[in-house]
Amino acid sequence: VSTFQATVVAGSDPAQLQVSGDLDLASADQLLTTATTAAGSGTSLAMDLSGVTFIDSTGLGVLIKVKNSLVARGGDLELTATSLQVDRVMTLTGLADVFGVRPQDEK
Amino acid sequence: VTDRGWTLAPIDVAVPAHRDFVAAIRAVARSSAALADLAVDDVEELQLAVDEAATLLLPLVEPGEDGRLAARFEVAERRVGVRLSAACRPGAEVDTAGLPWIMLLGLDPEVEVTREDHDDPARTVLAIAVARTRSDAEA
Repeated sequence: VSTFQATVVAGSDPAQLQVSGDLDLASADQLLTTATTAAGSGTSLAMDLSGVTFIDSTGLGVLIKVKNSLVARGGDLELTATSLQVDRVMTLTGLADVFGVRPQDEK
Repeated sequence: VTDRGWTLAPIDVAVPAHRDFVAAIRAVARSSAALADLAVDDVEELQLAVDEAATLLLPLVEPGEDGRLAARFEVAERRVGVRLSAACRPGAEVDTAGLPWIMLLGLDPEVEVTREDHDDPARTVLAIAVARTRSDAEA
């Protein structure tokens, strides 16, 4: 049973997503669909990943895909908060700078 | 036999070869790491390594078949070895160009991929083995 949840924050502009649980192979498609729908025709999206308990390469792949799509439209994906698990994987893959995530020991 | 009274025997798990069951294998990885007294960072990285290994194997399993993803956990003092395996399409190869493999290599530079070809040409078993030793363990 997946613990994953991606919820659009009501009334947010630009759109904001609250993401929690395991972001993995089983939940990646759900995040992509929710993020794409939430962004709509807009150019920016904010994601709060502080509730993410696990993230793997598939989850990272979705974040990259969403970011690239928004950047191509002149906007960006902003990660407003991240969990230690997200920070660790971002650092491990060298993607921390791409997403503006600070390493754990700098927090 | 450990000082807690259990024997260091392998733990075998087999789940349907479907993405929804990878979390179950991660859960066993977490338990195994705790039994081996790995540090918290090691526990999380072992889970991640197991997940990435599963991510690499699952697309190689014949679609529509009653495929299984097997995992053998060897729990030792401050060390866990994991071997994930699945019967895959003939000629299937693990993708070593994408992010899952890069992450796996970063987590365990000694990761091993093995292939078992059987008499049945339609059956190839691919296995990925990773291990984690407690990072602050004395040499």
